[in-house]
Amino acid sequence: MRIFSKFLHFFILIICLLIQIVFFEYLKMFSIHFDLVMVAVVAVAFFDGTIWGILYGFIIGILMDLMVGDVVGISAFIYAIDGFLVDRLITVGFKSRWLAYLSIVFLVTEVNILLVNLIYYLFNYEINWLNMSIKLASTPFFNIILVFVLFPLIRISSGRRREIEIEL
Amino acid sequence: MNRRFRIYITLALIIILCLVIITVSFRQSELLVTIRARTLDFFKPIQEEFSSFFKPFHNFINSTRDYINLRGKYLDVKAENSELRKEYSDYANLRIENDALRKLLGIKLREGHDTISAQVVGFYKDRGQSEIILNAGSGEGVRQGMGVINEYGLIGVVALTGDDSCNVRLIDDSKSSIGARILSSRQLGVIKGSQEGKITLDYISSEEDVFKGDIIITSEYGNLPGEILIGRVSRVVDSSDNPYKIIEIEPFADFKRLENVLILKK
Repeated sequence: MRIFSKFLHFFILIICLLIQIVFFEYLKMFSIHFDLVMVAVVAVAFFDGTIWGILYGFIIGILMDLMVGDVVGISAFIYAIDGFLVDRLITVGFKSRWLAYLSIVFLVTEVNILLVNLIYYLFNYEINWLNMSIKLASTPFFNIILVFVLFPLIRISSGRRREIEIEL
Repeated sequence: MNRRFRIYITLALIIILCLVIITVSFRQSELLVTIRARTLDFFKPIQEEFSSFFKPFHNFINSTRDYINLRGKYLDVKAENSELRKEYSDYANLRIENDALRKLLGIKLREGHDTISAQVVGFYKDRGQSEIILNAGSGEGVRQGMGVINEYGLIGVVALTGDDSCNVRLIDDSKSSIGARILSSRQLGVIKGSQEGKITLDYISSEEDVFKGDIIITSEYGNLPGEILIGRVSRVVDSSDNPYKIIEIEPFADFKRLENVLILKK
């Protein structure tokens, strides 16, 4: 059953990748930035464990880079880090399950945007501060909308609920 | 081994692997190019299905946008139409005259281009990168470097080809660089994209006259056929410390409305 759920989650991630390329990348032309793949990786890391989050983040990132990326490996690196961040963030502790989902996606999105800009800056790209600020302000809210679809889906398909550690 | 230690080991291995892949990617490895082409081909059939599933959503978004801009557009089109009607009769006469003179001088008549039709099945727009995926590849005769147009003009150049699909770098991509001309003055320059998505015409001397509204076409000296419409000059800036003018271009093609395109065979 657990192996089946891992395959199922991989399949869901592939579907998310295709939807991202076919539809959500198109929305970026209207400055609507959804990152469906990131939300899916976070959900998998949350319910299947951090190692699975890192591995799936890497695999799906590589596939994305192979299909549309400029430099192969950058998205893989970023999504793997996103999977890892979930482990660091859930230890902060939230009492409400939904609050935990939303806060984690919010924080991972913010870190993701900063990380992406940092990496591209290291690769000699210029940082567009205005564009980055707009993304920092808007993308988390778009991604939070996706949480309401993806998290319950991954949660049900994982067949169990990961306990949230509460550190007081 | 405790859980946290395993996580750190996994992360470290993945980071090392990513650095290796990024290095290989920067070296433009043939193997990686082949893998990219195979990946594109592998996902093409599913991507086509997804693309047709999402087409009504794309159409809905475009229709909403059109509806909002309808009145402004209607007035613009009306004005442009009356202008074009006047120009059309001049154009028809000039064309006949031009063909007659060409025959007289023994110059070949202008020819149409051989094209391959394709459908857009994917998009990617982020951090200066602006690409689309088409459902035609080397099996249909598509080669790297071929120009891609739609009914309004040039939209980009094929950057990577698989057997059944290809990636097209749009002209607003920061890596895009295409030889171009100003139609009226015949000045040569280079059309470049930027990280902000702006398209500029570079290498036009600050001493040359360039006006807002000037039409930009492809140059016959580049890899693409000449005389293909690209866009219109939207802004011209002169700078005392720059020997070249800063010229921004507004493309004729609407990148938000790309569905069916033509690939120009060389």
